[in-house]
Amino acid sequence: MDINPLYTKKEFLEKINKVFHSSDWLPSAKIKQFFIPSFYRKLKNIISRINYRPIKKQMHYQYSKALMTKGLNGVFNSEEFLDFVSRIINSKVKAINGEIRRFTWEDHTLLHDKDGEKPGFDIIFEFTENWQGSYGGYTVYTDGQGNSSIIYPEPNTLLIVKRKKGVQKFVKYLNYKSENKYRYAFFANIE
Amino acid sequence: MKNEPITNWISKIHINKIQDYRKEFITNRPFSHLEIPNFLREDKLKVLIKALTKEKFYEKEADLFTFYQTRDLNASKDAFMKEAIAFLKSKKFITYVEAITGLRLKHNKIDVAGTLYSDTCYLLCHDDDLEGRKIAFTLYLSNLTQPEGGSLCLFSSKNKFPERIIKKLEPKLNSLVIFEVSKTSFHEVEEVIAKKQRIALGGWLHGH
Repeated sequence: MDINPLYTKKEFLEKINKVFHSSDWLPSAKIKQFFIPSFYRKLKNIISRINYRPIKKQMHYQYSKALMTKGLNGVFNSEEFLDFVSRIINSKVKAINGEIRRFTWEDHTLLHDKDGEKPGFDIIFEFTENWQGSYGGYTVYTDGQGNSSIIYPEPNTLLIVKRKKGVQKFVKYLNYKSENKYRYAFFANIE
Repeated sequence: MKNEPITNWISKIHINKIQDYRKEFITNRPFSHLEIPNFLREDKLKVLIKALTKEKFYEKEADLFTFYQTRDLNASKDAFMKEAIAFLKSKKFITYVEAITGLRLKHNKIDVAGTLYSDTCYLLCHDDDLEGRKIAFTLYLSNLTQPEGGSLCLFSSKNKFPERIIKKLEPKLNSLVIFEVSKTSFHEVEEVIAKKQRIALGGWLHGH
């Protein structure tokens, strides 16, 4: 487990914490170069080799997912990682349960009025390289009141978002320009 | 305009075929729909295309879609567009659609806009079901072949949820497609995967 040592320093943690709490409708922080490069490459190597299973529910979502391996689960549930997230959101996190998702052409997730996501924290770690916004596949947060925020996938980047009541996210449909290209990310939700 | 015969806009063959169209509309699956080729008279079609190109298209983007659309054309200031909309909401035309569909429709009421799908534009599966909407219609003003995308895909349903695509209708210049709107009229517009434009005039007729 190798978080970029910069981010374990008190002054950086305080800075990120401040950034996180600076938005009223969407408290969030995007932390680039999160792991040291050699550790990130190791993880990337694992997630690009594991088996993915396509899942689809019309009018809800379409993408592929992989079950968490013991090793990957260990990374996102290590004391160091949990402590880092806890210090950003100002709340003790005891466990992070998530999955690795892979998106390619035609994949997407949709917003839902009735069975939308409950308020909570999103933890999204990106393993996506050389992504272009014109492919789609980016994450959009919206509060349904006119506020929205687009977050483009960037490699080795951790995104922490507090979803307040009424705030939902979707992954924009990936058009044919993304054929044979993949967005890989770890998605977790803490309620 | 009020006394204008319907055949000023659509060719006589479509009047004579009402009974065939009705049968087809009712029996077509996965839900009642009909495709009428070469719908408008050539002279009207040409002017309509020209009139629509004068309208401003706005980008529409959400989780479900990316495409371009005009404002509601009921508000168009173009003289010919006004005539075309007046025809589409006229008693003559609405009565004609009623005869095909067997549904009672509101006269003089129509939602209508121009739509444009360019490279990578799409509209994912949905049902169109909003209060009052009874018939959805699309008049295609450009041609796309299936490998280029842009087809209107109709879904079968199971337990009120969409199941799978069982029919694809390619956009064909001057084809009119109508379908009955219901909680299970699931359909989508396939992504356009070519440097072409899928242009259409579309909207809804309302029920009582």
